[in-house]
Amino acid sequence: MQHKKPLPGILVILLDLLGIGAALGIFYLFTFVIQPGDHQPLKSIMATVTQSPTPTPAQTTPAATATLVVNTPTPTPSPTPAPGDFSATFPTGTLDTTGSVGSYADDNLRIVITEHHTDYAVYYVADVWVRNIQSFQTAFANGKFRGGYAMPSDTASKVGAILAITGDSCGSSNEGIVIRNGDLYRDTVADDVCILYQDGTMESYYEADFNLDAAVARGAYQGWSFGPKLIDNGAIPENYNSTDVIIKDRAPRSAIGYYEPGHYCLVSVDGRQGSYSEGMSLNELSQAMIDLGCKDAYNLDGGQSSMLVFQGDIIGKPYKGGRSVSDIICFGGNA
Amino acid sequence: MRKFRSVFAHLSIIFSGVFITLTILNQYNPTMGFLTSKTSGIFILLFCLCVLTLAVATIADNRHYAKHMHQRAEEAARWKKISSNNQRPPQREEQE
Repeated sequence: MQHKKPLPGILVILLDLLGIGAALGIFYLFTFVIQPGDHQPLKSIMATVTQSPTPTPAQTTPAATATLVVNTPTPTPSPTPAPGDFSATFPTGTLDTTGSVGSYADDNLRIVITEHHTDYAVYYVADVWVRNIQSFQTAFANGKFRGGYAMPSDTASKVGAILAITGDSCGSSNEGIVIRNGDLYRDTVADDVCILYQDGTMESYYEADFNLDAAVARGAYQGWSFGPKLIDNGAIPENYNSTDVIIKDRAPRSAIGYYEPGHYCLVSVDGRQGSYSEGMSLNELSQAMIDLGCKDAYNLDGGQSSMLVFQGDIIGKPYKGGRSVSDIICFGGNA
Repeated sequence: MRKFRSVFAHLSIIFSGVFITLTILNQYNPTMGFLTSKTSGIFILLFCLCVLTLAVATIADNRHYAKHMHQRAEEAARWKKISSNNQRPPQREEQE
């Protein structure tokens, strides 16, 4: 019997590496490119709450954006406002734009964006007031859950959002709570969870403490699963529910903060850009959110995904120009 | 059997490489679900089947080899006994 001469060792190693590459390619294809067809929500949570009228995109005129000082008519607050109606606390009159890099105001939405510097990071804070919970929206890339990926700026433009930030990247994982605009899309708990309720309160939960049924019964309006939770009883959490790399490394970050019903902030931290901005560790981000006065705060998809978009313009300098993501949080659009 | 084992050995190397890569990626971004996705589950199953097949084939081959070596040792011992008795080794024709 004639034996074949074995292949050179280096060639065998190279062929194995090629096989690993091919297998990773197949993994990527089936995990992130070919999305399963579960685009429809599991159920709607919205029906329980009476909503006051929502502004249409046509009502948010460009003229309103052109003036930094806007006088808005003060509506008479209802004695018992419906859940999700923040007319009683919605600020009126002159918008304070001192030191802002962008601002916007109309009858239902007020936004002021400010730039902040530390020794190691540059970050932007969008202070947002909404008159009605329905002005606080989220949108999927390409208009449907697990419908692929798009640049946050493109998704924001498609839905006509005034302000948008990267969401929780729900389309790139198969687990984690997904509640969007009152619809429940996924009900598996995989990380710390943040819920915005229809009454305007926002609460973040440790993974172990979250109860979906209770959140649904209370009227969850938006639900994100990325995290970790950034503020625990007004202080920096002792332990974050994440890996050391994510906790300790300074990186670009996105976060959402909560002051009171109808008043929120979006924070975008530039990072991985040498002397311009290194970014923040989670400890530093928590401290920044506490310093801003947030009662609760939650970390969103960061790194290269981190992007804040205001009226079609990207605020700050996303790492490598940003990248396509599966979803955004937006205000003033028609998502 | 050798070729069969070789194929599964390489498949095991490939799947190991994949999971080492995914574990490292998972450290940087656990929310991407590199180790918890359905595809990962299928890959883990395939990896287990490859390793199991390779292990069974290796054990079977080792047993076969051990059996062969045992037979050879027995034969050698028999020859040694014959030699020590100063006898001429039996010829094949004689055995028959």
